[in-house]
Amino acid sequence: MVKIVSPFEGPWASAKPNLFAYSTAEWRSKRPIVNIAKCRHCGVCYFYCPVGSVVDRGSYCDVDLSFCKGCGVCAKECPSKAIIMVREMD
Amino acid sequence: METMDVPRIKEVRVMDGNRACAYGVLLCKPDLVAGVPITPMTPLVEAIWQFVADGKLDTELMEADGELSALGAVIGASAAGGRTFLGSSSQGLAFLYEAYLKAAGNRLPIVMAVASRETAAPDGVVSSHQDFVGVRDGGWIQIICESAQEIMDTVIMAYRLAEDPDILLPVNVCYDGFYLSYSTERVEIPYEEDVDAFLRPVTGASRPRLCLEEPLTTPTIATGELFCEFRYKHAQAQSRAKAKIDEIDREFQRKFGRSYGGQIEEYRTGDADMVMIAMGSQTGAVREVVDRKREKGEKVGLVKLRTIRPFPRERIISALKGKRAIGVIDRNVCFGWQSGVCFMEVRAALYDLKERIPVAGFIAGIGGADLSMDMVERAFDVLHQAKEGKPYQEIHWLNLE
Repeated sequence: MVKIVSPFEGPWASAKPNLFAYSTAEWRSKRPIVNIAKCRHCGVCYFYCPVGSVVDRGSYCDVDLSFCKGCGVCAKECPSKAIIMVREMD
Repeated sequence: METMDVPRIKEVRVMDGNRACAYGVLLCKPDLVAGVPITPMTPLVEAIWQFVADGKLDTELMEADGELSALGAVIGASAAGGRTFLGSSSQGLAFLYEAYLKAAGNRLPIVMAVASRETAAPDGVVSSHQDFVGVRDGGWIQIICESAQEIMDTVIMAYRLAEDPDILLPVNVCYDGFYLSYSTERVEIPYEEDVDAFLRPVTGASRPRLCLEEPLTTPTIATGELFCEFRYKHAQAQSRAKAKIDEIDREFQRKFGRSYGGQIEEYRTGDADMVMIAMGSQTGAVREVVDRKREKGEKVGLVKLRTIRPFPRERIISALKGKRAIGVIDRNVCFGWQSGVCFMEVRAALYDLKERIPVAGFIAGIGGADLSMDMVERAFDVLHQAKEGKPYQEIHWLNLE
């Protein structure tokens, strides 16, 4: 018996909540963790994130893990060293 | 269902295959036609542009800078829910191949004419089936025509098929470049409102489309199991198209009085012990030879292959069951097998039968060469040998012998 997941005949997907038929965050091997106490809300990570996964929480920046691919640019660029990358397995 | 006792004809005109195709497009009222002229389909583009200039056809025209961008535009318009058309041939078809794969994968009901032409190299702007058989695994439906009338009728049936919610696949309407694209024949033109009625079941039918109200994306990224699922659904749609092609042909006959047999046409095959298979314009020469041989009392028949994708496996089997020898004429070469493509596929289909029927392949008419009636006679001579159980040469290049 064939398992059918998508409601569409072809590779179409609803644009809500995101543009893909399944989570593109699935292939992430490391995830960023923001230390709110260290974050100075400068916005460098916000501008560097190549997929727009950094969200502005008003007084600090956070990461939308449902879309983040885990590239680590934010952690590398953060001038306050407020972001660290941890392995998904840990 | 509405029926007409006597199918009505609006007018009878004399036109070549390209113009017959353009008339078919005119009657189906596409929203976008993208065109790049290429021999031997240039007059098709000219005719459609003329219809628009004369105010007969209200459609968006796009003069693309190449076949790839033409099909790219058509993909966009089709994804937005429009009815679309384009034509191409040979190197143009090769150039748009990247988008060709996407059109099928996205399940977009595009209709595209292919005035088939030999592929380079060698450079020869001449007839052949090499261009469209070369892209047969791109996921499109491919229908091959024999006459100008069949081209016009097939364009109309192609929209009905492509836009059917059970199918949603792009369709190639293929016709031999030069032999059909430039040959002038008698063509019956139906009334616009009759074609409207014929297409009504699919016109405006619901399908996923790009719009602002309910935003969708296509093609979405799919890997692993989800990718398999979309491929599986695509293959299933190809399967469903077989019966649908036959069904649409029957309905076309009821409404317009002409039938082409659907996936295949069987001509005098009933009691035949030798059957020749051919595709496109070459079928005419075989039909004449079959008639001649029948007059002499020889039991011969013809199967015209109208679709190569989906391959009409079940219909082929039922037509060829119990025959004693089969010949396949190919206007193309399947490299690696050193036969034609149809020969290889017919042989694969015959594996379903318990009895083993000898099959001979004939490569003829490539490079714009003729398939003469004399050559068809020679091909039948080979089948005669095979029928008698004598050794025979499996593949013949008729133009070289």
